[in-house]
Amino acid sequence: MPTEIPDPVGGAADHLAAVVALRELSERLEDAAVEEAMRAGWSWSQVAEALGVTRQAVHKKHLRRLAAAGIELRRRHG
Amino acid sequence: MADDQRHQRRTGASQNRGQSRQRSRPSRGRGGPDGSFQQVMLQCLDEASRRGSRSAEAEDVLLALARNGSPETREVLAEAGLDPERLEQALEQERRAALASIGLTDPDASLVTAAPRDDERPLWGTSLREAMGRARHHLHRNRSGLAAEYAIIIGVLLAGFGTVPRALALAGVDRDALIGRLQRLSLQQTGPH
Repeated sequence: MPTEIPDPVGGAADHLAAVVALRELSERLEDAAVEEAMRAGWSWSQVAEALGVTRQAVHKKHLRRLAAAGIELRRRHG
Repeated sequence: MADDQRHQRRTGASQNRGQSRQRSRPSRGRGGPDGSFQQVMLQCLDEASRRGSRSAEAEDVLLALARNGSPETREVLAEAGLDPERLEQALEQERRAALASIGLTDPDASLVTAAPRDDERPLWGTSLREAMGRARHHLHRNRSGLAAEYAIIIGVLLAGFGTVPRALALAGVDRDALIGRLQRLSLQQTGPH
């Protein structure tokens, strides 16, 4: 029996596409939320704890971008 | 850079799918790099950056060609309903349909607007790598710029699932007809072999 090729639209295809869209949204939400928090004076450690990741991870992902945007960033001890 | 450019991100428009962990570098085809091929890939990365995406995907190379391809390529795409504006609309429609399928809509733009990653080059996403792999099968000996562009588009269009086929289906674009036309045009470029 020939294998039926799924349609790229509808049913499971839509839900898989939703996963992709949410993955992208998640990244953009994180960028915006981290920036919002830093502008509001949060520390890297506080942001990391809120996200459930290490401070180093947040630094690696966001420091350059936010520094380039001229956002005042708290030093260590926060 | 102007503030509007620095903060320019179309709401939800950036695609960030299947990020490759490997560094992005234009691939070298058999027999050495092809200047046209590399130029298209650089434009593709620019397209991904312009849309605020961290990875360049298959739809980005399609956008790059729709916007910056040769006049012949742009004409073929436009006649198929894939000029830059309609292609962007199709991609946007696909994304919204995907979210709607699970009962979601776009969040407020302010929630997803952030400082861009200007100094970070987009990575090659999985869909882009796979599209380029398919494109190489359609690149003939005579890799003229135009033939390379046609081959790349064919490589993108041959995806069975994912963003591009979904966007084209939702926009009513006849993908098979476009592939056929591009294949015929490619033969005209390279001659019988």
